[in-house]
Amino acid sequence: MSTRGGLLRWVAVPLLVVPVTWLLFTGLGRDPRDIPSPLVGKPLPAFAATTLEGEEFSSESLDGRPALVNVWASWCDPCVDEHPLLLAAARAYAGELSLVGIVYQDSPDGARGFLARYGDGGWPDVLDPSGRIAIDLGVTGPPETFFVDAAGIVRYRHVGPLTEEVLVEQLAVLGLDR
Amino acid sequence: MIATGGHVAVVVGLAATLFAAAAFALAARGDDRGKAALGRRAMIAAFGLAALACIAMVTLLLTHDFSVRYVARNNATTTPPFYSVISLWAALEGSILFWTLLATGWAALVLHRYRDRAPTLMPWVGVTLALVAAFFFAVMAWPGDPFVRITPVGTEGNGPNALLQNHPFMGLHPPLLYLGYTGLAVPFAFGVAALVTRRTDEAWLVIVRRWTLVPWIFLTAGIVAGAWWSYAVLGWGGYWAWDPVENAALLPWLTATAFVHSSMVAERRGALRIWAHALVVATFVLTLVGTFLTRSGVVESVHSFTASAIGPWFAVAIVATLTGALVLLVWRLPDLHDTRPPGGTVSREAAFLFNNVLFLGITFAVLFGTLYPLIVDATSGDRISVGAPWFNRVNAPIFVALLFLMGVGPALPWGGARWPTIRERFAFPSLASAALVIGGWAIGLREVAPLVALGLAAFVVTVMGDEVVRGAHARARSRGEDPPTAAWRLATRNRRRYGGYLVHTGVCVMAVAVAVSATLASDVTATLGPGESVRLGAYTVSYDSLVIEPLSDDPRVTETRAELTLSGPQSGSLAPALRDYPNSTTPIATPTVRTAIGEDLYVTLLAYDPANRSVTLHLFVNPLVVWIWVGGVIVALGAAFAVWPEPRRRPLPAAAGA
Amino acid sequence: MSPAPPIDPPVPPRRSRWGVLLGIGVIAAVLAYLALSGMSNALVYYRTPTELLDLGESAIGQSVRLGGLVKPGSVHGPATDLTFVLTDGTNEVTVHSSVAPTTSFREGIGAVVEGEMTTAGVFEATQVIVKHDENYVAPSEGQLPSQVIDPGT
Repeated sequence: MSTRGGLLRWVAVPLLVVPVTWLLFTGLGRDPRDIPSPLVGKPLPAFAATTLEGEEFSSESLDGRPALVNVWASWCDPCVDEHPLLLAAARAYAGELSLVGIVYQDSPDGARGFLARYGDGGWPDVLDPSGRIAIDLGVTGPPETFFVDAAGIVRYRHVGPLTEEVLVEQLAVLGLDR
Repeated sequence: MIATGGHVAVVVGLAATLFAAAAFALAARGDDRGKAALGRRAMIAAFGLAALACIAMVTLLLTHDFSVRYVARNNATTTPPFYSVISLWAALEGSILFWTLLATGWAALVLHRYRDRAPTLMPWVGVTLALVAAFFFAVMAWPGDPFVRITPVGTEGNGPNALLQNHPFMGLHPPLLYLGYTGLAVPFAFGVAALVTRRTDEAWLVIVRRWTLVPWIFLTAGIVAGAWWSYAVLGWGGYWAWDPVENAALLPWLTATAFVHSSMVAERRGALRIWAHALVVATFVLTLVGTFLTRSGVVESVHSFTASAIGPWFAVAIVATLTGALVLLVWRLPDLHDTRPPGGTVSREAAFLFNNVLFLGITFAVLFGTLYPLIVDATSGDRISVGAPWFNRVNAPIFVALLFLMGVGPALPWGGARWPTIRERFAFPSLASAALVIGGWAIGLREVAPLVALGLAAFVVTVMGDEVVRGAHARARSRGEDPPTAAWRLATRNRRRYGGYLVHTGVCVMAVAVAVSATLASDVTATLGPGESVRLGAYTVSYDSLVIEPLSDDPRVTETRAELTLSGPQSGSLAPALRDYPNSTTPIATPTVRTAIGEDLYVTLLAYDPANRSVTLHLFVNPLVVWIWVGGVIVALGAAFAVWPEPRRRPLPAAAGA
Repeated sequence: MSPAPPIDPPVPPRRSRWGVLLGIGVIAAVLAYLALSGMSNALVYYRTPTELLDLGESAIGQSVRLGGLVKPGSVHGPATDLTFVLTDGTNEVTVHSSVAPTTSFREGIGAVVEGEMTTAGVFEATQVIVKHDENYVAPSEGQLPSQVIDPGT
């Protein structure tokens, strides 16, 4: 309360500013949804399902090449954000990287509309009406992306929309860096 | 084309605000009226540019131009025009655009009104407001660009957020809130200007009085409208949940309210001046913190927010503002000593001081509870949230103390009170209060909260009523006016005081309504087959049929409605519904509320089984809820009465006498 | 603007800052007591089934928000006496709820239940929240209580 604190009163500035800065920036670095996946380091759970085109797809067909397993839905806005990155990755690593989409809690029409609107990269998108694949993967909500190496081991799981940084970094872990 | 125009308007707006800041800074250095006029014109131009950008966005929304990302995400071809327009503030980028419009609007207005007055303060006010506006333009020019295009262009968009197109209140609540938020930059700018120019006397407070109360009215109305919306739309039977998003709106309101009070002491008695300065800074910083919390994905709420690139921008802005303002404040601290000796412990000054301490206490408590999950996560890695019971437990006693002060404060004299005065002023109100509590007990009220609220409200209202009656009486006698005329003239001659009384009355009404509705509500959940019924209190609700059909004004939306017949104190038909929106996996509840003076009957459709046509209903009887909204309206009216411009009349003789 | 009606003859200012400071001290102490003593009971922990099971006995009685997916085939009973299994792909927890979830509750969907673990090893839920979209773009208008999809408090 004293107005005559001399130099001591300047202590008030760092006393308030430092904790606030710390709080704001740790807050920024934090993702409340970042839950470590028990799958990392383990083989990708096998799944087989029907794609949007009506074909049968099995996760065994992913073996031998690094793969991205992307969980998405047409009603999920951040999925729109990350979609161009997936398209770019598919183009850049054509022949070296497999992609498969898992349509989460969505209607086939909704999913097709999404692809028509934002671009279809041509990779298979499988339907998961019962949610069984999502359960095996421990998905908490779209978008979520699993980075799987050539041996079929999950190396990383990303919750939320992909960023270019994460994509480049994790593809490099899978041996794709250019 | 329009999108490009909007983007250009944003970029030019950024340039205009930076130019204005520079012009004002030069004007301040050289005491140069010409440069100040230049700065003012640049700010008015910035307002025009923000308006153009908003018009561009609204046009894009109305024409469903899905080549713009914001439109593709928040609009669909079937979106009704009203919801297309209000989509301007329905999502992140648009809300920042709208925010900028209001912020530059306030700035242009205040700079224009004071173009010929306060020549020392105004250049610095201009610098501050221009920099604030420049920040928002910059956010839109880089990380939060509302006019980003997408390719390929789709033929249909996502549609607005389902929750936001479910109730017309969305057209009212956000603008009110934003008008409040953005307007509070004005007192901050004056506070900064007073500190920089060492004009920390009463002058800035006199100017800022109205410029604080008007945004305060909007903020108050916005918060109450938000609670109302939450009650009418979300279907959980309540109106306030201490969610981070709600807290973000409450925090600046608390400090602004504290400032409204301490500024009166600072202005009249030259005391609490540090408080006044600290509180305008805190209020402005908290509006930024609120935006940061709700727009950056930092705090978890069940409705998580998308992580957004504007987070770091706001974090930097908050730290910079806080550091700058604190350095300024500490530097000028020696200027801010009280010019008069402090009052006694039982004086009006002390009441105001305690008021400030209590408001600050709530602010700290709410801020702590909101940020505690962040602290825990950063230190132990546990993901937690702080439940509503904690907020209630900590804040309820403070609100009680505030309510008590609200009665005591206005009746205490400045300087200090003598015992006979205290006895004379408070004897009757204390008796009235005790009588009401005993009466409440006698009719069977056993809950503590309603009894306390009722007793204190009676105390506050009688203290004020007593004073109004006495004042009107004296005036009527001395001037020969009839009592109602005397009371009206008394009130209009001292609008701030009697407007304040009206605000306090509204708060009392709200306090009683909140205490009663929070403790005496009852509810029941029941699953009914057709023809079955459920009772709650005196009401009987019977279930007739289930109707599933598309909404008439937006056929993409399917409404599932339970047709019910109500009998009891109120009767008629009810139709709570669930609406399925194509862009939402969760159906949106549309509860039915039957409002009466005494209580609301609130019915939500929780679930239905299309196979056997059974429905699960949640019924609430919420007593006195309508009085929360009534109290809110009284508060807003009281504050409006207080700021209503005095008619230009003869100069007041010795108006400053206290 | 006009003189405040109740005016006492000015009392000579007693040097009575102490009364005021004492008042502030009392307020601060009461506030701190209320804030800290109530904190541990009011915290709600977010956990996955794996995390919850790892805690074992110590998790009993703690307020938890448990997130996972509703295991297909595990849902039994009427809406107001519901039993189901939540799984995170590795571990699973049996949940009992006597409050009805919303219509969108179904097998395979993500859900968050709030409640606590009982000694019987069953999670007793006081709220079942269907978790629609983790990355839902929040309406930015400012007022969204967590009970948005709360079936009942």
